Amino acid sequence: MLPDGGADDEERWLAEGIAGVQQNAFYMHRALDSNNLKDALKYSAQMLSELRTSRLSPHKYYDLYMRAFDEMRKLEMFFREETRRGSCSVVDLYELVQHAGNVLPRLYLLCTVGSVYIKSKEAPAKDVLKDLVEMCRGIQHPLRGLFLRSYLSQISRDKLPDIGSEYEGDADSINDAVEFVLQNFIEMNKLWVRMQHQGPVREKEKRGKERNELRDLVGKNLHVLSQIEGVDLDMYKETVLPRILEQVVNCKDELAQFYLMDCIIQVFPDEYHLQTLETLLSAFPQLQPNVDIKTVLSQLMDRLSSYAAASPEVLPEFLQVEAFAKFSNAIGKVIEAQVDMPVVGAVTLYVSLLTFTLRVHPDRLDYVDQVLGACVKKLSGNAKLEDSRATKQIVALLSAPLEKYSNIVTALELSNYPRVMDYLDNSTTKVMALVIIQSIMKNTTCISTSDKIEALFDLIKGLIKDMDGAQDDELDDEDFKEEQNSVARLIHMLHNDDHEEMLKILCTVQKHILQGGPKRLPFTVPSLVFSALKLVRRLQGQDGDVIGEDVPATPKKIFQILHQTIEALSCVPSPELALRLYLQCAEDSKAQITAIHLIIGTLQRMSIFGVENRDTLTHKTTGYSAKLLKKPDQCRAVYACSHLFWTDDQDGIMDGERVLLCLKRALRIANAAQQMANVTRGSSGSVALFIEILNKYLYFFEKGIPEITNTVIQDLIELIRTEKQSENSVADPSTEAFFASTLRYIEFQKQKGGSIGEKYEQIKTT
Amino acid sequence: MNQYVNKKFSNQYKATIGADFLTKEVQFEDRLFTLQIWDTAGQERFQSLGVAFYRGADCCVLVYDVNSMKSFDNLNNWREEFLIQASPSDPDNFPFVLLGNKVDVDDGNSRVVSEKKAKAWCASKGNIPYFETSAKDGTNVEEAFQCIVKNALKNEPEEELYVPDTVDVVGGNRAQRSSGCC
Amino acid sequence: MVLVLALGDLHVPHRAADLPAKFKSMLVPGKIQHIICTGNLCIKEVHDYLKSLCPDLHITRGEYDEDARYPETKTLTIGQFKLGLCHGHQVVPWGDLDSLAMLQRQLDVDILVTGHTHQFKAYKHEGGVVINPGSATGAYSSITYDVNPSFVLMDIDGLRVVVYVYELIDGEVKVDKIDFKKTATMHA
Repeated sequence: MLPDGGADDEERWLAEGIAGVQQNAFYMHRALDSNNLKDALKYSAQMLSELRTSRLSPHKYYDLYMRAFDEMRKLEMFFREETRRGSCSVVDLYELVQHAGNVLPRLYLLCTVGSVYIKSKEAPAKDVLKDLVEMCRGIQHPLRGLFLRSYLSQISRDKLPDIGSEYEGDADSINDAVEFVLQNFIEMNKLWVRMQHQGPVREKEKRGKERNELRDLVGKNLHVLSQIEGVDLDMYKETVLPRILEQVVNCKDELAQFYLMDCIIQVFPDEYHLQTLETLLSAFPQLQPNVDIKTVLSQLMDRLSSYAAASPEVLPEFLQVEAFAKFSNAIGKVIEAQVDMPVVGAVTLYVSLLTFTLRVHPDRLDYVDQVLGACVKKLSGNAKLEDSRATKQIVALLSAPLEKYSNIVTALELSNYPRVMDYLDNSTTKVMALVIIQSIMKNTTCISTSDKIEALFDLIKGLIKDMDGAQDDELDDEDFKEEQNSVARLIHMLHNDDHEEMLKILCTVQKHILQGGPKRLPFTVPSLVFSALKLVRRLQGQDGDVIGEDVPATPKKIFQILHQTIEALSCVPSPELALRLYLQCAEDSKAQITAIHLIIGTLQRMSIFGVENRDTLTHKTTGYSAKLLKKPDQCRAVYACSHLFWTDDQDGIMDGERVLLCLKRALRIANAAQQMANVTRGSSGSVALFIEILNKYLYFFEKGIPEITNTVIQDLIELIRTEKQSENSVADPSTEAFFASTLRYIEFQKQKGGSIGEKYEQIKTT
Repeated sequence: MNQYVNKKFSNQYKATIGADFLTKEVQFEDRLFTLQIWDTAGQERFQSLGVAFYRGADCCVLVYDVNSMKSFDNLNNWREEFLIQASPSDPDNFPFVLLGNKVDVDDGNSRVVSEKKAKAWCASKGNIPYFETSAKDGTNVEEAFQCIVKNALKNEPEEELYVPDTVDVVGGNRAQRSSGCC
Repeated sequence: MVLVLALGDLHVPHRAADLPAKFKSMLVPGKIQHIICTGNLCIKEVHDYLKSLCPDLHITRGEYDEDARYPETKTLTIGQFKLGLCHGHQVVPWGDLDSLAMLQRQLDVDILVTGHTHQFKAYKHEGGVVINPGSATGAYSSITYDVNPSFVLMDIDGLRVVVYVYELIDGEVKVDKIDFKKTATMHA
């Protein structure tokens, strides 16, 4: 419709138009000031003639229109003054303005006087409005016609014969108001649609853009309808909605249909939609095949579900009108009608429907499953999804029930849930599995039957084993660790207080995690082992009940499971294996020390072995201790071994001789360390080691080992004093403090008196 | 706006399309003025033609919901957008009025934007007058519009005057216009 | 007044899924000034969680900790008190008070915090205090049967420290408190 011309040309045309408006407006003002009606009409008509241009885009035309609109308000006020003063009757004015030469200025003037006419109440509003809306047919140029009718809509906005309005006429006046707006709407929509079909084909895209800019002029009428107070539910149901939908469907224009459906949903209140759901939804399958129905329909469902969430008292109405069934049905029909709708579109619709049902019918799990089932039906026939947007929607679909019910056990009851998951690619399957585990952790959901756990493992299988065709190499090490750690944590959430069921659970978990392969087992096995050990302890705690062989859950059976599990671990690199390796050849001295201390600590507590076995073990341990890489570590491990030969419990070992042997050996190592320190001048000495050993002597001295006498201790104290003085480096404050606190301890014990005090009596600390 | 002009209020959510336009005659210091009020659409997708009606406004009323921090946070955007689009000759002194609406909701228990915070914002923008209103029960609506009218009249006419060669300019009785995002 | 959270032996994920929800709801960011953790967290996620409660976090290494950078022992001074931290698997016999006392002398501290046994303990000993906060997750232990989840909060105020023990018994949190005053005659 626009001649070709650059943006510069358009700016120039607009500037010219504005200048024309301003010039004529100036003379119009002068005429108004001097009460010269004839001139006022003449110049206002000339001013309005600027709106006859065809050279401006909608945006620019709107700018020009707004300037003329402002000026016309002054003219309207003048008209009102004139009629008030009685210098000219409104009827005469109405006649007079029709003499304007051009049709467009004439109609603008007529609308303006019409506004005054209605205000004067000299004629019923409905008659004036009816006349005006008919007269406007005179402009068939789409752009000019749309703005003219928009002008009519604007000036009549507050003069509609609505209920309670001062222009309310007889009983039918609401109908007249509605009829007027509807008619204007229909005419405007026709102009708007026709625009698409005018002008050369090559400018089709440009026309689409321009039409899009103009859409609010048309939609505005629907907004006006929604503001008319007399439009109650009955009238909306009987007249307004059917008439609008008739126009929307029949115009067969994609753009108009998409936009106007959106407008209907947004401008009318929720309760109206709920009560006319059937009528509204029946329009969707009749729309053009390319209309983006999913967006509009989703918006409707979102609106209604927010409505239900915000006002729980309306929920019975949702049930009464069978909202879910209606939506579900409509979606089915739309998907059927729009064969070319991409998968993402269909899934988006299901997400909205699911959100709707979760909010409106939270107790209807069958509805949820039904939505998932419909989704599976749509997906069936496709391979795994590759469209990332569709995948995202599926994740949203599957996450929604988890968020709503905050209990995975509910989701596990949905038979279609895993079937939807089957359509996800491997990496998304994992994402979803993590979402599920996080939901369990967040809500501390305990899953307590092996059936449910079986179903759960099916959902999270992406994390449990290698999937077909998966390329795990790409996975970041850190991510893999995190994934497997969450599986390990999950295992502790699978629990039942019933021993028998718990045993079943352990078997199920074992079955699944053993499929994990060498990379996963080191993460998952410890959790299973400890979970099993906990059950053993529970069985032990209930004394006597476990003797019968027919009892299903016995410690023996669990140890069988443990044996199998750990056996599986032994053929892959694992911490347990690593421990043994460390002891033999590990170069990491720190890990060795940890291992040695654990072994000493464990052995010290074990009373189960026979004397001979124990001897072998302690001997070996002492041997290992002396082979540690660094002297101080050797020394500490060796004096720790002394505890292996003196235990306090009943029937405990009390071999004072070997305790002393350990301590002496430790002293020798400390000595060697001290000499090494003397060679490497400046390096911190090993006096601390002597003090540590002194403390061990004191420990066993108090235990009453006959070999350890106060003389031995006195000698050691003197030795430490000498070593301290001869140490090359400056006295280390922490060593000083350690020694001081040890001596303080001796004094403390002396003061206690009694047998202990007596023992310590002879030892001198100064 | 509907409360002020028609003394009506509706709790139902109905989106505004394009700009809504209402007029009201007001008495101010013994003179009668016609107030034109333009209400802009809150949703951008219903503002397809732009906001040419901002131009020539004499006052801009910003409205937020005291129960919604987001609506308060958006005030800066609305204000800046107005100043860009309306391009008044003296943007620093252009009259704005801020209304904190919906103070009635849940007896103020769901309120998230304090009066202090709103007033601090007003102070930072050159002492914008502030009113706490309820469109539902009409609290402060009349007072707020009195202030709007006063500020609009204080403001010098924004429009560049067209001066033809031979004639002296005689000022006319101008209609006052204000716009807002209510 | 300074609040110090002491805990350890969480053993996540090997032996427990997480801290009990009841504990988590009690431990909110911003209330605690220091955290001392005896070790066995065991994974980074737990470290990050503790860090989110309070950035001043002190950890020693348990035998199951992935992160080898944690030291074997650590000392720090809070107000008038010197605190020592060690996991405790290095101190044989495990949990033996006399052996822990030696460590206390060695580190020269007023308060020694160790773990490993999964059994809450607090003694006044030789003018100082020896604390074991137990296992915060109630993790399985070969040393202690029937482990209840527990942790310790120390309220340090001048020369006084009040030790609160939180223990989860049958789903209920029980609180116990031990008062300790440092005497002026104690060492410098």
